[in-house]
Amino acid sequence: MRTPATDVESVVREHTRFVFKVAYSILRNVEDAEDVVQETFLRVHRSGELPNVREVRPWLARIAWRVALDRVNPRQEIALGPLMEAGFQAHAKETGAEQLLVQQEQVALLHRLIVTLPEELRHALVLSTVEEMNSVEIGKVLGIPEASVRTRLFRARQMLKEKLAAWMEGGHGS
Amino acid sequence: MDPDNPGRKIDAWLDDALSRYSGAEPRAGIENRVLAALRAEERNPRRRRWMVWVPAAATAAAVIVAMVAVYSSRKPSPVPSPIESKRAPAGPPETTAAGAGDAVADSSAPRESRTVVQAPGPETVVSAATPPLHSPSVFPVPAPLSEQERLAITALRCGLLPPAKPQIPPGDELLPQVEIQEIRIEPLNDLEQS
Repeated sequence: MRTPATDVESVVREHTRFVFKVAYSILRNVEDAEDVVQETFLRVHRSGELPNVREVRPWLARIAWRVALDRVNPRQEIALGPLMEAGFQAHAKETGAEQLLVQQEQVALLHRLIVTLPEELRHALVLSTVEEMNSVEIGKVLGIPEASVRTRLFRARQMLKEKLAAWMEGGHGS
Repeated sequence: MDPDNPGRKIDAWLDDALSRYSGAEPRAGIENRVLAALRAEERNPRRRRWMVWVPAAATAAAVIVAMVAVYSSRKPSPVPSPIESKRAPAGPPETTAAGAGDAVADSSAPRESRTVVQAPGPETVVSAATPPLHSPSVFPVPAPLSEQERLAITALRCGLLPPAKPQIPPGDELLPQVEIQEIRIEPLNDLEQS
């Protein structure tokens, strides 16, 4: 039988990257996300509830999500004036550093669009971008049924498409 | 990308962008940093950190108690009558007659503002400086309640004592109700007739 300290250590080694992804999806900053990872596992350690937890991943994701939300800076904005046009042309066959730059601009443009979504849709969509996170786990993190998660993801995607279409009709992205 | 089908173009762009949205990776060694933080937490638990503040809190409490004590000692205590509290000045008293130097009173003993010293010669009067009437020390502060008075108030509040009835001094009793008859003024017919 393993001691609780060993359990925490194994959980850290197994799920650190996942917790980081959850935090980064909200904070969009590597240093802040790493701070959230550390704070998340400290809370796990202090709570002592780890031996009683059946599903560790959603539990960890929920803690990290809450810690990250506490650190969100509402005034944090990204200047995306020229980036938007460059980001939408990301499917050209760039290579190397140029391709990397275009991908970053693409993500920045998407982030600017996601920020405009209603909060309930935004949280579901952001968590869905974390790899290996399915609708069931997202529902456990947000405390809503899986069907609601699917509905929110559909609505969020529809709104993003409408915003992109309107933006393209405005003469951008051609 | 098919320029003729903007819907597909948008879908493809969204799929691509969403797949990269949380694509950042933590810096190398984050697991070790987290574990080091956990070990540090075990060595120095959080509940011990706040104990650092215990001496500071105790010091602050002591300072507050000292301030309260100083403040309460500065409160004006019941001032006795100026006649009792005033003492004669330490210097030689004024004498109304010569040759009464041996009648100098002991300055350490309390005396009234106007003390008559028994002397073999003529009467010697020691006059002390009388404080002006507008001085606050002239007006006595209400004396605190005695122990018996406090007990009586407590008993009254607890209902152990009947409420006191107002005492009417003799001579102030209520007078019996007096009936005042209606005043009638008769016409002065008699005067006119006369």
